[in-house]
Amino acid sequence: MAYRYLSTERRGDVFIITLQKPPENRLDTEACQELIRAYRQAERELGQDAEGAVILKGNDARFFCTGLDLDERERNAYSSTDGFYPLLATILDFPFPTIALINGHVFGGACLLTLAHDYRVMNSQRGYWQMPPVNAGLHHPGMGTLPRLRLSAPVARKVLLQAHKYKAQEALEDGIVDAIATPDRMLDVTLELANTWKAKAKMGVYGLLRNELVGAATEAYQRNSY
Amino acid sequence: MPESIINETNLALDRYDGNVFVITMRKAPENRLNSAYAQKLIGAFNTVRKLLGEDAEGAVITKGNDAKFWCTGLELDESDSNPYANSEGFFPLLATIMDFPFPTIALITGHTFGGAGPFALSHDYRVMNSKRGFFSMPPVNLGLHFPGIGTLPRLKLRPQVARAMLLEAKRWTGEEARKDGIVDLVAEPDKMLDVALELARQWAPKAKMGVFSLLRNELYGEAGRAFREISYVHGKPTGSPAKAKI
Repeated sequence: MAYRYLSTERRGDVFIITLQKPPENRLDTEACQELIRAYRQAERELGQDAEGAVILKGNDARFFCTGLDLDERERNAYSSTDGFYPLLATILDFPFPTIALINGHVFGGACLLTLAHDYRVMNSQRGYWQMPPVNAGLHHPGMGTLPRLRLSAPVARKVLLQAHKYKAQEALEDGIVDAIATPDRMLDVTLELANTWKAKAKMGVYGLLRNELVGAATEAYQRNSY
Repeated sequence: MPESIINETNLALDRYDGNVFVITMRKAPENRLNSAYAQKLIGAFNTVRKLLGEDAEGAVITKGNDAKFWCTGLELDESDSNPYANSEGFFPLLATIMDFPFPTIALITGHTFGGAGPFALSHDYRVMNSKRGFFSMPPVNLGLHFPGIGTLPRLKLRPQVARAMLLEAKRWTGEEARKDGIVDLVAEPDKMLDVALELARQWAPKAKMGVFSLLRNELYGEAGRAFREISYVHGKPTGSPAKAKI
């Protein structure tokens, strides 16, 4: 299948979705909808009650995604309700383990995109992870659900109320990411993680159990969608 | 010498000094829970509650009978003949413990699997055998789910630990469980009852002013509500039964 702004690749039971929207993979409504299509394709091809996992990454060692297209948000009040929120709801509801390979910079809404995934692997040598809404005067209802549910309380505060700028080592220590690796190794490390956990989807309850832990976030984004 | 209150083949209830009660599960071989046994355990908790009365100091310890097992989960076969088995026993048991007016301690004497995960987590404190026994929740491997199965891991454990428990079916030794905050203390088999009794005596006074359960539920009330919601329910399914058995 052909997509705008991304490419997909399959390695065994692991799907890799690579964002390709230069220069920084900023997400607008169309890009989010294309991502949703890619996740749905992965789900269809993997099948029900099957082993599988999906990895989302950027295209190079510089940028993962530097956030939402804020110009579009100014022009169109519903850009997120038609794109970004449904995308997060899709990933949070997904029946297979998901991994964000943070190959480079992550800012703003893209931090939530990474937290929506079950696991995170980060480039150890390059790239910052930072959520600046408190600095920029931005908010959407439910913005805190993923920080609160995925991270320990002091770290959630650091992320949301301090807009702390994380490099890989500190992100690992604070539990924001699960592993860090050099640029030449990071895809392999992520594939290994995917292959370790793909079997957990086989009995058909992975999404149910994930939502036992983060369901309040899923519901918040479903509520905000469309 | 403790005073014997209940002395049945598969269950004992003894009263120790300082208003500390010890429930000993001895349902060979592994203290597996079925609806009848869960109701028996509820009965034991109710007996303690009535003996202590309101606004009293007191605590309950739930232990296994040896240093091998605490409880290896639900009798999954029972759901085959009775799809509402959990709703008739296991979920009400969890609800009872979440509501209990006195501090509760799970003395995890040995292996603890499956449904025994929430059963242990529903207690206020956990002491585990440092030398023997694993703690794990395998529902993701079995295709098992009930609404609320993740409430206690989510509310009591760090997110990454809850993820490992529920989505990875990770297995912890006593010491590993202590490091990850799943249990509060570990102790060697010959000392673990004493450690649990000491912990029980330390916190028993907190029940005296009659708000212990209220305050516990300020923290974890969502779990209690989830379990009550699916207790004594026969009008709708209350979860996805295991597609595989262990």
